[in-house]
Amino acid sequence: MANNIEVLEEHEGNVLVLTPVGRVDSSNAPLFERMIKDRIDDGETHIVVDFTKLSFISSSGMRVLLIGAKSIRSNQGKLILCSMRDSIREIFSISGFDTIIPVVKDRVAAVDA
Amino acid sequence: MITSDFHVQVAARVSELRDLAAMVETFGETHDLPHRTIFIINLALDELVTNTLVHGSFQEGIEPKIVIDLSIRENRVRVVVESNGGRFDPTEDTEPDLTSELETRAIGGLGIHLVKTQADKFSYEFDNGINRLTLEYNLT
Repeated sequence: MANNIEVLEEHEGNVLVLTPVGRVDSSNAPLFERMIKDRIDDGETHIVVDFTKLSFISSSGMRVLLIGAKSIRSNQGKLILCSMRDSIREIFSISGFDTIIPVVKDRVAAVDA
Repeated sequence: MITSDFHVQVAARVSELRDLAAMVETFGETHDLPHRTIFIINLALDELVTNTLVHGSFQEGIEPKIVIDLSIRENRVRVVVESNGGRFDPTEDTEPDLTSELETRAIGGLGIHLVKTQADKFSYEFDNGINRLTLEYNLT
């Protein structure tokens, strides 16, 4: 059985900011994947994922972001990540994700990117 | 010398990971483990339990069982994950794609890479029908 995922959604101009709350793990990553896919299918071309309220992410959640980044790039859009805590930043670095998905300091920088 | 043990059997479902994570956090906070150590232990458990559920070959008629032990000995945390599926050794996993450009980056295989990279020791044995993964984390 899947667990739920809470994701706050806001628009800043033409930028969609998604703020997942709590955990993204193998139990709720499929729901997060569906949500990002739906927004890209709806025509969003600049999506920011704000990590401020995220305490944990596993490789299942990182996989969702990689799929999302690939998909939005193929629409000439971009996916930007921001406000990661150190322990999460470390696993993005170990995975080599920080070289292919932009990670910036905070939401202001992500919206302006 | 700090000595402490934590033992839990989790149901073979990914929805159990939340409860497991909460228990590990309580254990870590009780013993003043660094935040990073609690995070990487929870990450390892999430990856290994998920991997076991997805790839472990549980025999029909035998209830899948995953048992987790955490212990602290001096300056080291040891995590043992035992499961009763068929022989399955994730330490043999090949390295994932870490360098391709976004468009061609292969998806998957990251979980075990993270576990391997962050643990100070990561070993596997198959003993009497039980898969046993042992991880160790040094506390500096």
